[in-house]
Amino acid sequence: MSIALSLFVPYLFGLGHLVRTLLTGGGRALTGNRQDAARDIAVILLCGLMANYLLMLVLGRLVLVLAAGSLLALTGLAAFLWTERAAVPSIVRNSWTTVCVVLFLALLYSLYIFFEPLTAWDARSIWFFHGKMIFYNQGFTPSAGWTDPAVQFSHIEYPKLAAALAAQFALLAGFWNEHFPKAALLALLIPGLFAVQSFFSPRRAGWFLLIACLLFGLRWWLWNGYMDGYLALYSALAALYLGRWLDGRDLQDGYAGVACLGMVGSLKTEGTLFILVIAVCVIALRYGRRNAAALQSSAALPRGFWLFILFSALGPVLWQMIKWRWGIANAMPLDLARIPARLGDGSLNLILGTLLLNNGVALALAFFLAALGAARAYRLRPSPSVWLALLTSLAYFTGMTAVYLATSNELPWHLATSSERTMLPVLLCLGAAATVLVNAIETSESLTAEPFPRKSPPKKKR
Amino acid sequence: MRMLKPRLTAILFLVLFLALFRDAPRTAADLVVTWGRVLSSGDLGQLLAQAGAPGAGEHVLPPPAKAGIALLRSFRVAAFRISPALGQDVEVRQRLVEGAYPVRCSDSAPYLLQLASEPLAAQCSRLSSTGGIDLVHCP
Repeated sequence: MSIALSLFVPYLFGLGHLVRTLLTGGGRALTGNRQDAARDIAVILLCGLMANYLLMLVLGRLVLVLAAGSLLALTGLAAFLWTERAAVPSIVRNSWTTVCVVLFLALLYSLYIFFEPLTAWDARSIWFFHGKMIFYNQGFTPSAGWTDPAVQFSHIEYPKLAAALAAQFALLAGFWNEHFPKAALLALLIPGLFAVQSFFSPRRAGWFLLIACLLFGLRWWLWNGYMDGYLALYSALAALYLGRWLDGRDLQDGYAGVACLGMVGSLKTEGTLFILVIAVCVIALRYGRRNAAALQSSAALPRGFWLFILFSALGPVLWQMIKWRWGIANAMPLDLARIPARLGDGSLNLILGTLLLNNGVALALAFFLAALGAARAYRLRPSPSVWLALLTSLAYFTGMTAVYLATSNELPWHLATSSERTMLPVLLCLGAAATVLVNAIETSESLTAEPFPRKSPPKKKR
Repeated sequence: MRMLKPRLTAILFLVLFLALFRDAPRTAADLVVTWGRVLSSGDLGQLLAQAGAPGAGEHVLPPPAKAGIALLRSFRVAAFRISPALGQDVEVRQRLVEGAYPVRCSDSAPYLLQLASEPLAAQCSRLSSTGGIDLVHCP
């Protein structure tokens, strides 16, 4: 158990570094300023998580995945130490405070992650049940009974990234219980903790606001075993990174945004909707603005960037193919024919009332508008990153409203059992947009110039 | 109009956020306070031992599910089914299916979990009973 806990971060780091180097042709790693280093660590760990998931989907057997993954991770770690050996002192100098903050927050959350057994409904019935099925069958194989009628309540069609991680931790412990497989949540949390710090503005209220919004605002959703909290966390981080990329500074932010979207797509089915929505918003903001010269045109993007997008999309795509091959169907088909009737029978009012008022979306929108008003008062012009988070949030909200309008479940029941969770990405993206504005007010720089000021300009790619 | 200092405005927004979305400060405080309680009570070792014990944490299951799973394990049953009356409680049904795994739930299984109050079907024999749940064999 202690071996699993002490080695999973180096495992993910080695695996991720190898993948990142192969896809992007290397480039800098952890050698920028403190914020850049935090972002690079987050991207590497996210690549490690996605690569581990791909190994699981391709190889299937848990032991085989761990053997192959460990070998690749060792290669990645050796490559990192070899290529960056001269930079190690500066990396340590740059990153030690970041690592300390991550350790503190991870320790804080590990209390409930490890010591509170799995009690939440979906955590037991879906995410960790799938992990248990993988563990007891020694791998991700059809023999686990994914198509048995008795387990169809369990949304078998959901992505298996978290379940695979839980099974791997159980394998290393040698048993299943209701505590230790939750270490998978820690593996999902730590890259996010690094990512949050890549927007760190030392001694600024904006950073505390971001932590309060993106971490503590998610309450128990980060430890109860549901994936909705992590979906929201990585959705908001993707919006922040892609927004900062749109602001025209650094392609590495684009990589980070894509990595976060890869996680979003591999965590939960709704992630696909979020990816579609944010992709449309990025394209609209990129090409819909007259003064968008700062961002590279798509033709000028390096080949590695497209390969990176392909890699991030591979997990969700492979899972779709496996579902099709194994005959796994969607448990909650949407019935679009219901929409016209529900538009006229008061269902829309029920949906909007629940989402806006009960789930806090109206309050978050009011907070954002207050921040926008304050920014205007300081003669600050909102940057594309603000608009991206706002538009993505509103478009995702619209998409989820359409899902509720078309649900084949009984609407009040569906809203009562899910709307609090499905609105988390909306709330966090609105919070992220407001944080960008507050941070810009605090630094009193033009939002267009830099919503998250850095200590030094980004270094050029080696 | 005279503007507040930017830093003060940002701090005011932080305070406003914490006031409007009280769950955020509550969560942070809860995490810190609970850690403090655990450390001061000396329960950390016990909690660590519990988190590292095989099968730990099953006490959270509803009593009928716990009783059913105990019966299945004591008779080393490989597959079972759930009577309609017992399965009417969705939570109990789902906890039995996922909690008992790798024991599979299948409609063709000869072993049946049912409420102790349910009558025994013809050709079936009651193997054991606990916590208001019967394990029945129907060849």
